[in-house]
Amino acid sequence: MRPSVRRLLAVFLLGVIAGAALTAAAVAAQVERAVLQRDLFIKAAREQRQQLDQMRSQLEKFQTRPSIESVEIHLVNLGEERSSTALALQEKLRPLGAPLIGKMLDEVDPDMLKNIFQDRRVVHNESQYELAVQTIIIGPTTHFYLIIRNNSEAGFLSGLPGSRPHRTSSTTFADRTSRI
Amino acid sequence: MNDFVVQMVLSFSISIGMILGGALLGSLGSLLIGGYPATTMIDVAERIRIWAAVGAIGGTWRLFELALWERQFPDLIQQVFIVIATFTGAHLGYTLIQWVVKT
Repeated sequence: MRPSVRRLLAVFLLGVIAGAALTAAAVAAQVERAVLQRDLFIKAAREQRQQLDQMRSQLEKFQTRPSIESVEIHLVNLGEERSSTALALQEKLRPLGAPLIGKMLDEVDPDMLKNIFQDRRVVHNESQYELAVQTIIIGPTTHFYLIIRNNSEAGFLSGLPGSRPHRTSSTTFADRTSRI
Repeated sequence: MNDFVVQMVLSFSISIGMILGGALLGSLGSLLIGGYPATTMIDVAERIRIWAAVGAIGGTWRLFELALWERQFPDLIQQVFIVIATFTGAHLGYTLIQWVVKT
């Protein structure tokens, strides 16, 4: 390589290095802010990922435990001729069972389930109906078999199992009457 | 020009050059590896400040020793001024780097 070329090359490289060093010095503060911000974002992303992993593992645990997914209400002592009444009453009773959805099966208290409907009174078409729980089948689909007694038609359910009317005080009656 | 003045200017320039060159190229290196260029610049300037002064004095230290042991006090005083110029250069370099980064 000719000396003049080598000299030119050396001058060029020195210029590049000096220019880069001076530019680095001029923008150092801005670059540093950007790098700091990048590091903060990386840290935040790592923390979020850890949280996500934790939540995912919790979700997996949660999914392995069975829960109540739906609630079915059956009225056991209304005949075919009263199917419209049964449907209307079922519609009125359905919201009472709705809070159970999503509850873990192993955390559900059977007495609490019974008390949701037991002795509850429902008004439909100016008739008052009193409920009694005959059977509860607890599972992902929880079934309530309810005996219903029309208080306006005395004796309508007489003779049916579990149809014995529950005596309630006037206060209890007022508390438990549901005008949905 | 007087040898003393030449030595003083050279020592001053060498020390300030070591600080500025070290800090600027250190900052460039930090930029290339994705580090913190401003912090690196200050850090390098602070770390090499004493070594820049020592490096700049380097060759004249022997003269300082001779002047001390042979009791040539005018030479000794000259050496003291050279040392002061060297440290001033190093400190000025460091201050310049601080100004560049912090303003």
